[in-house]
Amino acid sequence: VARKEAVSSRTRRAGARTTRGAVDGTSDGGTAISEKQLKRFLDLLDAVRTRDLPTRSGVENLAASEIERDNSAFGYEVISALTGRSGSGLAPFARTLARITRTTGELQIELLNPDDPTKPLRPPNGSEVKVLVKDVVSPVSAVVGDDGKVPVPEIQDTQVITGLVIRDQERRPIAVAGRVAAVS
Amino acid sequence: VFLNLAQAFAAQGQPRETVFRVHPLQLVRWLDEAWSAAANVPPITGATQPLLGSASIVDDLELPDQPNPPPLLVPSGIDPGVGNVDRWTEIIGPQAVSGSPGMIWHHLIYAYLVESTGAFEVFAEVVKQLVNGEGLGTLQPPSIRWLRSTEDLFFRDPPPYSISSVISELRPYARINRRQTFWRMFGFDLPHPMPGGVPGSMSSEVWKQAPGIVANTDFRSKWTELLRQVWIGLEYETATTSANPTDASYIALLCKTLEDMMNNRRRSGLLAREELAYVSTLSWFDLTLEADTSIVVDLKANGTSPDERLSKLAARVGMQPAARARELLQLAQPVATLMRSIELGLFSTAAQASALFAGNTPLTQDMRDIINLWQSATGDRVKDRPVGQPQPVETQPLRIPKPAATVSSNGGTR
Repeated sequence: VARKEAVSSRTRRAGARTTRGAVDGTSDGGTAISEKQLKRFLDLLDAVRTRDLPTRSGVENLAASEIERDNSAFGYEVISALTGRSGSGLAPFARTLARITRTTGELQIELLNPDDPTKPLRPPNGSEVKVLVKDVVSPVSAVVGDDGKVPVPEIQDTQVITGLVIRDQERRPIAVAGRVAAVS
Repeated sequence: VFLNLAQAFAAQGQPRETVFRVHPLQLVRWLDEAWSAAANVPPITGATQPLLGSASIVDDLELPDQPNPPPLLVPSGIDPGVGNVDRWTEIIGPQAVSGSPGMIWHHLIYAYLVESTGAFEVFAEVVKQLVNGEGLGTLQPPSIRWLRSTEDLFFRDPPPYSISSVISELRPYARINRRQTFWRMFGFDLPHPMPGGVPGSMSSEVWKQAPGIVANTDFRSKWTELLRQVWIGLEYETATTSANPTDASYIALLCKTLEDMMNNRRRSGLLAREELAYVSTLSWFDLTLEADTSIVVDLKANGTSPDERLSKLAARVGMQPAARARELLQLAQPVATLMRSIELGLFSTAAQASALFAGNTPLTQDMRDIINLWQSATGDRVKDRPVGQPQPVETQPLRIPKPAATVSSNGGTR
């Protein structure tokens, strides 16, 4: 498992619409369950065990549903944000846009400020970054540190990132991005 | 749609009602850019259905990509970062540019719920009285801009070739077009009648029987049952001492049914343009009521909530909004998000459907609000359990279908 450092500082004006679909992953990524998911799975098994569920398949189903349902809740929140819901704390991404690129061992998040390309922009300290990886059902979470770096463990170079959401400390989404290929 | 634009202004420190100061020509262009921005939306996690019913509908109907400088049509030029909206900025509007995550407008149910408050008809009367007389008093310059844009955008035929131009010789009445779309998608008609004297108002029932009209008339019963089952899930989520009647598989089945119903009406991208046009129309009025905007203040309709402002505006022109306008306005956005999620197939398995009631997430919080507000707005007793004996299943048909009569060689039948 590689440890990534995501750096968010550079800003760049968005250009012509040419990138759509151009960065789809070429690798099918890993399907191994992450350490965090494994812990969650085991915690869940414990929780389930105390409820005396009768069959093993019942346990597995519950565990699967526990992991999978994050997917739907996550997708729901992305839709909330993309539709620009007002008054709900779910702001759209009108000002701060994210682009993620990656090299071996590093995941770089650029927050794009179309209005002032010279001014560095980074997520506020304490912002939460959620990264969704292809074929791994539960998003990986990390928090932006004081140095502006985001330690995002558990993402391997061969894995394709399908989505990313950054929230500020009040849990308002401030950026979203998607479709980042594996490192070739 | 205009809520997205308002949010873009707000993010730059501008008032949300700056939208009303933008020239209507720019706003129409921005709607085309908003349409294109839907193609930038990243794949939604867990979605099994294409956005808007077709993976290609946005590309199919958008303008061709233009080299710079654009030889055909200039961009909307709306730049939320520039304080002066009177200066055209030569850029594509927010969220349509590359690198942007794009945007998507609210689901059609948003337009239905906001229009159900009667807001559109109240504003129609307000605009009518303002442009035809002086009974409502004098307006300040920002309100004059609102009035001009409102009349241009929503009470006049849209410019040809615009994505929002969903009116023509063949479907000439916007009010009927919207009702027909709501009817097809949800089997819902608006609770208020078509106002007298409005073009097309005499044919308000005819459109339901128009050739080729297929409506999801079973939508409401399935939707209400879904809310009921999710409420059971929420109620028993923390229960430890009783048997839990929550059935995630049944909830998934109901979601799947609703998903199928909506996607059947959206085959090949049907209703996508209409949805954009109608949602943008109603979002304009929703945005107007959202705060004490200039037009609200000039018409002395200040209030502490959107429904109060609507009531006061309605009173100024001798009208009355829906009794449950408050709930309907509060419902509109969360229900739209939920409906879009269902339509995309986010809850079509038991595991996924359990996200609707399990844990304390933004989704489950929204579900509680939706259930409470829907029950209050419609009177559907979502939280009540059905009592009495279960209804018997319909019996099989008594007659076995006969084979069709065949014509014999001598002309008789046998």
